Amino acid sequence: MRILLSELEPGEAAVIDEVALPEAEQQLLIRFGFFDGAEVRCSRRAPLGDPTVYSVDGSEVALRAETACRIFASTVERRACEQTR
Amino acid sequence: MNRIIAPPLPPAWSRRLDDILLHKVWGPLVFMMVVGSVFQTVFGLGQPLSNALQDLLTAVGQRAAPFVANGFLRSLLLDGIWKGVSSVLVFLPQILVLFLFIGLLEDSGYLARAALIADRTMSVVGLNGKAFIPLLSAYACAVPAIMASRTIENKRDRLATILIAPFMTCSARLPIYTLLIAAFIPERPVVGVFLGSRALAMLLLYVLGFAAAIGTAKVVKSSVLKSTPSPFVLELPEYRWPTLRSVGLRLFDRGRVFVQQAGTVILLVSLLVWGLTNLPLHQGQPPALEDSVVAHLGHLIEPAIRPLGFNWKIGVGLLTSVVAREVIVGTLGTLYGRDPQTRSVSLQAALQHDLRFSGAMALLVFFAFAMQCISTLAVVRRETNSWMWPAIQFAYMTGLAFLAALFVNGILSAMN
Amino acid sequence: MNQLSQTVSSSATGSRQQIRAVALIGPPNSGKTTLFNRLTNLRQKVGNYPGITVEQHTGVMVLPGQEITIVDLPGVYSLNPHSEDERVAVSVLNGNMDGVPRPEAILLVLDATNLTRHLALAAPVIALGLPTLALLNMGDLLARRNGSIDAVKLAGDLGIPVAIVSATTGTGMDAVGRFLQQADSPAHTTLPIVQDVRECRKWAAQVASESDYRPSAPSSMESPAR
Repeated sequence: MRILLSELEPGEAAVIDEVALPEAEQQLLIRFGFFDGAEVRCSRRAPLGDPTVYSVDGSEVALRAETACRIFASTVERRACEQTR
Repeated sequence: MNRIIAPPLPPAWSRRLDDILLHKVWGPLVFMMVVGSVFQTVFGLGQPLSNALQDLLTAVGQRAAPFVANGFLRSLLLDGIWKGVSSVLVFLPQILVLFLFIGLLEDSGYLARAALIADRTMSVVGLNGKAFIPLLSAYACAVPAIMASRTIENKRDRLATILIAPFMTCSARLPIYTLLIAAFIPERPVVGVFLGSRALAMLLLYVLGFAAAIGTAKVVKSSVLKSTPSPFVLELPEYRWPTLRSVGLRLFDRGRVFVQQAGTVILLVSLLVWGLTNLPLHQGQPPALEDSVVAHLGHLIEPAIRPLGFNWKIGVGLLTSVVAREVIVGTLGTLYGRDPQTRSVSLQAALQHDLRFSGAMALLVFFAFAMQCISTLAVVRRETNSWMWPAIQFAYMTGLAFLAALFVNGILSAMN
Repeated sequence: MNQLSQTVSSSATGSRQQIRAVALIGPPNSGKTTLFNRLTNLRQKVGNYPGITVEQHTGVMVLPGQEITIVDLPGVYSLNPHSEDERVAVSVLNGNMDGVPRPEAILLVLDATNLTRHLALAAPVIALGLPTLALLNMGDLLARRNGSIDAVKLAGDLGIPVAIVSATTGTGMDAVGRFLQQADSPAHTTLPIVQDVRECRKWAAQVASESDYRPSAPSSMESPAR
């Protein structure tokens, strides 16, 4: 199922499809592990609701909702479908 | 084929710790305790240590003074050089205490969590969560606070933090605030025994500084510094025990950097102000304060500051307090002490005699906004590695101070 | 993995010049500063790179018969010139930075417990062709977690020597001295397109798995590291 990263609830995991941000910002996110094909799990939200902490590549990285809503990802079912193609 | 997505996770104990420290309820509680202790330590430990060091250095200087016979040379060595050096060293306790705390928080991994908790509130005004601790410590003194802003990796957020830090009501403003409030605001209860008019006035001044900081942050982040926003990305490192060695090395580093780089500027300006106060010489002796170059400068700028309700003596005070804000109290004490009309009364009474209420309030507002601390400018120069930013900051803050004082004086004197 | 289009071949193996300046590079949080402190033992100075706010840390490492300047570069994840830190690193490594000697060798510091992410930096660094030593730092942490890596295989895949070290305890650090006394250029190896950070990440993941990298084994994570 295709979703925005910001829609991922704590405990849920997904695979990133696309980082829809300008090049420079994309590059920054890639360095931290947010690139297409990467596996991400939503770890927890900050006490006041924003930012949200994501588990990616063995470390925990926090993003604000304004950034996470520009990242497209797929949860398990969709990827499973694609792999049978 | 159903693939289970499971990105590798950090160690379980680290996550358990985060369950507590980033908990909806416990998280903010621990945060406030930690933040409270930073504040308390810098004020309760850093400040007294700083004062004690100042007393020690002054005492050393006075012991050595009689060994130099020549009046002018003695003044140069004691009041000029030694005082200048002391004014640099005196910052070290506060810098070291703050950086010790920050070093521990950073190395243990907690600083990132604190920034995470603070971020929601800070982002409302366009600031980074990591700016919270530097800005809080600016209430003690802006110098270590600005140095501490290097924990903010985002260049523009860091610059915004540096630009607004001096607005926080630092402890050097307190002597002049206390003096003027005691002299011009009669003590009246405002909320029964809980809040009197003088405490209210002090509180309002704190609020004024805070409002100026927030306002500036909003303006600056939505215009000049906004051109290429970088997304907020904060890595939460695993928790670990800070090592004495690494924290100690960082302390040594920061202290050395401050003394060598900011210290030279501070010393030079101190000497300059000393020079202006101790020239021209009369028969090899330094002149009385009211005959010195700086007093002439005070008279020179008097027309410009009279609309603010200030006189030439205040003008001299403004010039000498460039070295440090609290210097104005000593300067005014000397000037009024030598003026035959006010020589035998207290400084408070002298001020009441010489200033009107409107002028006094204008002076308070001026001090709230003006960039008067050369040490702050030196540190801003060092941290931004340019002369442009400290110059802009000086111009902007002093301009704001001037206009605000003008406004206050105008309104209040019209009301009389 | 079908975009491997860059190769690095070793330069003339005969010329082993005396190393006078070394660059220390690695991602943030890799323990690079602790390593720098250990190598230079307080013989350091801090300054600013001309015109920008990035701080310059240089130090001197003493070895038998020589003194080597170490330039501690800012923590970076890649060498793409997208941030000031990266531009500074590239500038110093190319010998274009005023006041900083051109590095003749590179010490690449990576977090052994976070290797998949950190290895992405290895590709552009090795591609520079300078003698490079990969230091997998925090080896003590990896051991405590019962993690492991085949360092020999990794060295083969990367074409450069690899040492597992711990800057905090000092273990394995003599590898640095040995390397600096007889540094060779990287051996022939295939690298991804180093400008594409995505490709570097994927290459890193593949190299790590080929070297049987495991960051940890479940039973060991009971308490924070000291």
